[in-house]
Amino acid sequence: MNTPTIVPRQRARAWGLPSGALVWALIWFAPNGAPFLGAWLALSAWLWWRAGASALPRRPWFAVAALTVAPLPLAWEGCPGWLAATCLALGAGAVPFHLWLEDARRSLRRAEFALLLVAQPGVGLLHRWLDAHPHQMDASSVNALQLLFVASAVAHSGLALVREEQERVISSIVLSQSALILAGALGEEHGWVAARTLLVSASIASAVLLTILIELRRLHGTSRLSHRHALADVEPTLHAVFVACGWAFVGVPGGVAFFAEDLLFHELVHAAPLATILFVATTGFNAIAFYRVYLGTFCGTRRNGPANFAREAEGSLQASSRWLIAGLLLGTGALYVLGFLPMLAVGGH
Amino acid sequence: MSLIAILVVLALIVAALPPLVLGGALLLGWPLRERSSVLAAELQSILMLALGLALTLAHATSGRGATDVRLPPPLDFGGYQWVPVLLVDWTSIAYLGLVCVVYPAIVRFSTPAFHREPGAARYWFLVTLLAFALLATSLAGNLDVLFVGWELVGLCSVQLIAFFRSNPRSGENSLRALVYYRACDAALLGALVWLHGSFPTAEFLRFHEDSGQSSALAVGALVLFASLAKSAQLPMSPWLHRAMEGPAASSAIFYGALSIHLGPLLLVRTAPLWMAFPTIRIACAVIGASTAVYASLVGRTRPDAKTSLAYASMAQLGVIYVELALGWHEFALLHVWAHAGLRTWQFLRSSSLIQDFQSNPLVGAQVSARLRLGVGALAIPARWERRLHLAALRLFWLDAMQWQFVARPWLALWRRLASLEDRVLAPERMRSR
Repeated sequence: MNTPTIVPRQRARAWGLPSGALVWALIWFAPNGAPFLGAWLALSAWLWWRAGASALPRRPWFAVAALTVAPLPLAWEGCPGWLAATCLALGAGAVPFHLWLEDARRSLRRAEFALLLVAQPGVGLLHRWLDAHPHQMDASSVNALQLLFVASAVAHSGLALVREEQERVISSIVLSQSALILAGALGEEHGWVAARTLLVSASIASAVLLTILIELRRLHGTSRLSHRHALADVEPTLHAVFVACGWAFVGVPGGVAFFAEDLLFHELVHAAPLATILFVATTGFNAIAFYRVYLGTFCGTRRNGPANFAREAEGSLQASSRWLIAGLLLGTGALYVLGFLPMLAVGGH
Repeated sequence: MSLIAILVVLALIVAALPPLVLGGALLLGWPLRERSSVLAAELQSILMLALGLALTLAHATSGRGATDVRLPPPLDFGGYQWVPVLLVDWTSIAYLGLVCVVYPAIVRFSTPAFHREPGAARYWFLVTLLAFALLATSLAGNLDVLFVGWELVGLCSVQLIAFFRSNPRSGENSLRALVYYRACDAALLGALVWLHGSFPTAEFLRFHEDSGQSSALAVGALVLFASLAKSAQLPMSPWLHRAMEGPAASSAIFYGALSIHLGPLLLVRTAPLWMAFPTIRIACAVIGASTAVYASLVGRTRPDAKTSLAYASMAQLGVIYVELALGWHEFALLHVWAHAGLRTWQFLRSSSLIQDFQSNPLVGAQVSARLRLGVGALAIPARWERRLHLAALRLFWLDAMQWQFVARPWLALWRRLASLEDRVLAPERMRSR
């Protein structure tokens, strides 16, 4: 039987998310070169600041050091291919360079870590670097890096299969998808367009799924997978949105991820057949991992009485706000609209 | 636009509308009245039946062997097109006919069965989505469209196994089914990607041009493997008895009639690719024959009606695989029809079996308990029969072996990695344990 764990109530920090969103915007929209480097350093600073502001202050030395170091060699014009590959893997959190993300997860508030995942800074870094140095890596280095990213995606999916905390499972699936996006972005002709389509899907879906899980933790204290949560009838709207968004997230037909993955397969199959096989396997594992979260959160027999939940739940047991539900519905709807009209996500003919 | 094309597009719209409306209502939290959900499913089933009949007539009078209908590609980028191609020929008519005949019966049966049942709205959404998925699979003209229908059928199946979601066993069993489905779907996706990458086309009508390709053997092998989970053939069969957790009506439509026969449909559709390779034909026959023997022995040891029926279905599917390997494709489709009809009736009546044994003349009143395997006619010594019985009771250890040698080592690998992560990041916590 699972013993309830005491989760300290974290104080709301009004500036954490807006400042994180600003840094996210800087990383994705700052011009290449020094402004981008500045935005990246701002991300490191934000991570340091937010970790210190959490309920259990813990400085993520490892995460901040990795994050700060990652883009520096890439700014050097004569950076050798292997060093560039290592830096990109570090920035993107590819296994085994992903530990800084785990360190950040343990230091940040849940919503802030979710924002870090949704922002996909590693993809931004790779995109900027490819933009600035389109021919710096030879074909064999690109293939090796693609293989590393796809192997990393398999590893994150594998970790998602054994994690016991809902948010960690979804985070692992997001990291797995990020690794697939990175592999696709290295593709030959239209790799970035295909990767961007999957990026749109992964960002929207991860924002929706992680928000639902954070909300369920706030309302019901759910932190680990268990057959005793059984929240489907208690939170019918969050349940419906979670199922609809989750299946679209893992690439079931109807969602935009289905076409995005199809495009990525098409990009990779000639250049990297082994990576394509692993890619196909990863999509399967991700679906299984998502379904585990669904079962462990929404299905089963609900335990009697709220006593056990009370200690775990954070804050008041107020229902989710209408705005939040509307936002979640909008995000899920966008995944399906783009799934029916994928050219909107791909970006024109 | 020809009459057949108009009918095909109409059928797709008719099949797609009810799940869109019911799914949208569920997502937005707008409670539809039960009567509205039932009406949507009834209208969908009646219109599908009518359009199925019209398509059959139109095809019969067209004088053409096959008509393909190309819809505008939703994805057209950088020289890559995702083209929805639909195909009307006697194979698609045969399977579509089965869908259009069985589906109204299921809707009729489900109406009183789900009256005031909690989760009825969810059931009607999933069943109508299944009807759309089956229609898309039946009419698929290329592997892309077939894959869409195939995936949606799997999704509906998994969600319906977990229909009684307060029962933890339903969830576990649906997860097990999903694992098998995803393993085989990955093979189908692999075949699809390979086809797109190395072959001129993924259209069924032009597969005979592709059979000369050097990698057709690999694609054929992938397709054969992909078909195994949906049709519960060895070694991808252990999910089937677990799938009986779902409602009787969904068991009938999935595991008695329509979903379980998608494997043979896929093999018939892709036959030009793999029929030229004796290796694949032998593999197909061996899988089918061994599944037939396995399922027939295990089915005799099952204590409940639905599981016995599931194993009986599996055994018949094994025979159908042998027929396909022998090249008797029309006969196999006829077998699919006959088998699906019988099993639908049996699954739907499975909840009333005791009453049937007492009073239904079609079933018969003379029932005696069978304590032995009943293979005495094969002149097996009694000692061996007992051993065989025990092995069949334990499913020939197939489930246990797959867990022990495949799933457990795989999960253990990732558990070790997760534990390593914890040690690196929080060594003090690990020491304190």
